[in-house]
Amino acid sequence: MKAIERPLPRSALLWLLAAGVLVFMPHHSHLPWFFWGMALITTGWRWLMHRGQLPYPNAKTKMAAVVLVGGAVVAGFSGHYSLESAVGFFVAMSLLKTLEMRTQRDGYIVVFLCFFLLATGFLFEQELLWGLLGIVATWVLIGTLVALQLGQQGTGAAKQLGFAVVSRFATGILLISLPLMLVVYLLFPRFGPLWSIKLQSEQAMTGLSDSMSPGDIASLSQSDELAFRATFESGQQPPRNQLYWRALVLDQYDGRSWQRSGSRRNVTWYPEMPEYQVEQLRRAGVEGVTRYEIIQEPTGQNWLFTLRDGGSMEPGIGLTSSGVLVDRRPVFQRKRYRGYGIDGQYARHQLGYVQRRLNLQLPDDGNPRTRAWAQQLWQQNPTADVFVQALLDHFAASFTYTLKPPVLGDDDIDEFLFDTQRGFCAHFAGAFVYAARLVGIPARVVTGYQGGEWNNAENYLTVRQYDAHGWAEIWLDGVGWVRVDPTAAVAPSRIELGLEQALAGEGSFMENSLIKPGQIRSMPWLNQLRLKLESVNYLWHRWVLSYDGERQKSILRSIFNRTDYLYFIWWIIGAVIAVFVVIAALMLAKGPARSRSAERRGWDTLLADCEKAGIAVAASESPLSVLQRLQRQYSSARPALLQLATLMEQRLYAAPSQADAVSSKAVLAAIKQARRALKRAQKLARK
Amino acid sequence: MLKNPLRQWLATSAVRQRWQHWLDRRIPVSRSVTLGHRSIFILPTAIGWLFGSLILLLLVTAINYKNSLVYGLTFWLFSIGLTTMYLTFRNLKGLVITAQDPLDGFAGQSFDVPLLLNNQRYSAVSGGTKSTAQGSGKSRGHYALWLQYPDNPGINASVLTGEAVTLSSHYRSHQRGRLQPGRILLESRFPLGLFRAWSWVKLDFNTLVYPEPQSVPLVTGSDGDGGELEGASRDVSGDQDFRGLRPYQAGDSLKQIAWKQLARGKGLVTKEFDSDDGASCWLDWGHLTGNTEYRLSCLTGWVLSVHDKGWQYGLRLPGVEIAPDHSERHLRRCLGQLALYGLGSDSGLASGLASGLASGSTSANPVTVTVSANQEAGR
Repeated sequence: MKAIERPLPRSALLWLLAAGVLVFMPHHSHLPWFFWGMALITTGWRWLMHRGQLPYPNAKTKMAAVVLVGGAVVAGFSGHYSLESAVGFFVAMSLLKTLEMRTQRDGYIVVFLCFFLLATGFLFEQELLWGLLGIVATWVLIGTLVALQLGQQGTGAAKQLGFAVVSRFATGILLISLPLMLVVYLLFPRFGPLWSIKLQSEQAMTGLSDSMSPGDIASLSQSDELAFRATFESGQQPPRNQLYWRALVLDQYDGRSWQRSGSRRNVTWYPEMPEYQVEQLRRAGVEGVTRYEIIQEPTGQNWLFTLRDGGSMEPGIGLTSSGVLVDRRPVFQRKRYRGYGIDGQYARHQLGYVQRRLNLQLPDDGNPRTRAWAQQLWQQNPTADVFVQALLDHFAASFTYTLKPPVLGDDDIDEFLFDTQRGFCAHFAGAFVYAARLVGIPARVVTGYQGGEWNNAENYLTVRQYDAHGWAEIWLDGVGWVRVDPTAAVAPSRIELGLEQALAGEGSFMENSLIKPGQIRSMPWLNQLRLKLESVNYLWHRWVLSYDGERQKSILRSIFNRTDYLYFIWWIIGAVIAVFVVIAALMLAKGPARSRSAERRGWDTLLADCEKAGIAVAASESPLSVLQRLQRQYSSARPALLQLATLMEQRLYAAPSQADAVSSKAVLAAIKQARRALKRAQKLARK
Repeated sequence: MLKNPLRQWLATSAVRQRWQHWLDRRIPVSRSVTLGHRSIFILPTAIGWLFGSLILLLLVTAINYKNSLVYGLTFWLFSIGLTTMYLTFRNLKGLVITAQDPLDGFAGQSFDVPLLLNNQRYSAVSGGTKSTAQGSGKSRGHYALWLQYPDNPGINASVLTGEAVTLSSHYRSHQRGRLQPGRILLESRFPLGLFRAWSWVKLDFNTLVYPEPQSVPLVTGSDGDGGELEGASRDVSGDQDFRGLRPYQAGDSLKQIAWKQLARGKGLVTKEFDSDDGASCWLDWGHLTGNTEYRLSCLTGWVLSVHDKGWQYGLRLPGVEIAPDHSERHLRRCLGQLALYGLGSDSGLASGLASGLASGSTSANPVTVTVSANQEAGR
């Protein structure tokens, strides 16, 4: 108890303030601006208290600070209950505690608060640099704990224990603990959430939305945020024009925007699979299937990404009847999953009545010019494939692909097709599907991402928000759903080279960002550096951030060639027990002063024999006197005992110059002999 | 606190005795104790338990948010916790604590008990080749130690690498006899304060605790042979004849120290005066009433006051008689007898010890007290 009422050591305070600043940093992005002021004021205030320039706050000041800060937090988050507000509240409390602390115990509490703040900071920031900052922060926090212990020093040179000792211990402790940490990290079972967390980040996540109206996707193209990274089992980059990552099928049109119909709720969850999928997989065989792994950034939505006609075989993931992947829960954390796509035109051969009705649905009126024109075109090209080709030709002939389309009025498709003729992928896809439905071809809008940047060093594909895309799928009887990308007809470079190249002439790509990707790419060394950093970042994501149960299993499989989990639980238990045993062994290990010579040990065993035989030997009795007594008692063992006595006498009392005349081996051998002789003699005596 | 039934049970005397007995076997009394796995106990502190709950909280966060970095932090802290258990233990392991005798003193007085702390590898005990072989390598310090005799103020200390520290812990002795402060608590929570490693070390001291002096009016013996106080009418202080200087001996009166010599840098020197010629008395147990301790206290007070006056004095206790004399050695012998009077089986050893100490530890004369007193008297 007394240790706790000690004052906070002065040297520890500096460590503590440094740690506070470090753990505050990951929270920078989501806390309201005034938190910065609060952090600055409390840290500065505490510092001035440390310097003795400000008095310790009294009860009234503390009360006022609590009320002020509490009010500010409530106002700052306008009463929302979210991860941000909870963490903000927590940060505020920690700041106040920092201001108030004065005893060693307060110091400990603030350190533990800081550890927790660091962990919650990781919920918001997980990039490599933040990870490194986390290591530094941990080091400083451990250093704080050491300083809290070392702080009070009494006597001697120990008074001067300072930074050097603290940092040496902090480093040592972190390094010694690293191996066990890695073992537990690798082996600790990763299972799902213990309970579904209500506390989620309110941070707006950029990404696709669940409806598409003209202009939606164009706004995404201004963001270079990461959407997901993909690796392929083959290690090769598939052709760009195959990289259509489907996320959403929008099959309902309300005259303004495309939306998902109820059919998305018709989900087949793994391990069950729709029959057509099994059939397709069987027919595609090994070659026709592209297998990939995706590490997806949080979207706050439950859709996942899949290549055409694909699926995934992982628990918790299902396939909707429209052929897109969904997760059971919204993806609030980075998610890693494996999936496959099936090349070629394998599909269902039947479209049910309901599905057909759904994919032909249109508002009853609106866009009169388009209606008339489509009918006319259909009469000229009365089959589906010819009609589609004619439509695409029409787009290719006179339309412009642009990020800055003009604003459209009520009959937006009419205006787009006949007046402006300038648009982004959403315009083309929407108009295309509208026209196809008008003439009775079942069609739907699909949104997702197209393309991505291939990294040659690590062989992975980076897909960013500006790769977002929308295209169409039409149903051809006897063939199935076929992908048609009207954008490809207007701007083939969008598909082959990416958005940046497609808009090279317009210069509108990422025009609002300070440094445009093109500027970096024009400098080769900078681009090299960028790609290197990208690779490191990728490895960080792949091996650290998205390390989950599946990855764990696959690693363990490759190391131990086992898949059953119980087996590894024994390993974990074994590892922890092993650590305990090592610690216990280190604790029991005898110090150098206790180590005895081999002769001494030999002699002790002989003494132990004696004790068993009931011969008491005082600690003060000399070996020679013991031997003499033994000789008297067991006359039959006399020769061996005499021999030992002679050797020991020489060994023990020889002049230093002749000390090696009798080797310790000889003495040991003689001890052995003597023990044997004694045992024999004891047996004789018993008879 | 005592509401706690466990604590109540632990506080019962039977449990305490068994605990003391067990401790005595496990960490025997000694002049010097090297801490090792037999003598170090370790348990988590309250802070340690708090740390454990923090880890649990972090683990739940990691699982619920499936956050690899939080997992990493959690397991690192877990691993640090286990490591610290060993490091805390190691911080005490190999620490050598050696008793150094404090000056004799009086009961009721606080003793500065000097303790020598050093590292096993560097201590004289281990010595030899080991320390030279490993001395160059890393050898450990012992940091943030806390030493305390129960119910006495404690002290902090750190023993750095290769350094021996002498420090004084405080102990207030209430009993005359040989100084036996009981077990000293030696604990450390270094490095992180998550675990508390401690030991109860019982050290052996050769220091005497004299009875607490009582000032009662002096009654000098008038019985028998030459016990009468003779010719000591002067109240003595500075006007005696100066005899010379001699090196300071522990216990010399401050009044007699030659401060001028000290100021000149010649060290502590004591002025010696001729004592009152002929002033001589007997201080007798029989002149007092009351219980043993009271009588001993009174006799101690007398001895001190008479010695201060520079008289010759003798001491009579049941079975012990010290002939009149006046010297520091004589004073110590008398006080030693008073300290150890009647302390049972220990007294034989103790009187030997007392006389040994009294003669400045130079002569190891195992002569009986009376004989040596006679010799002194005849000198």
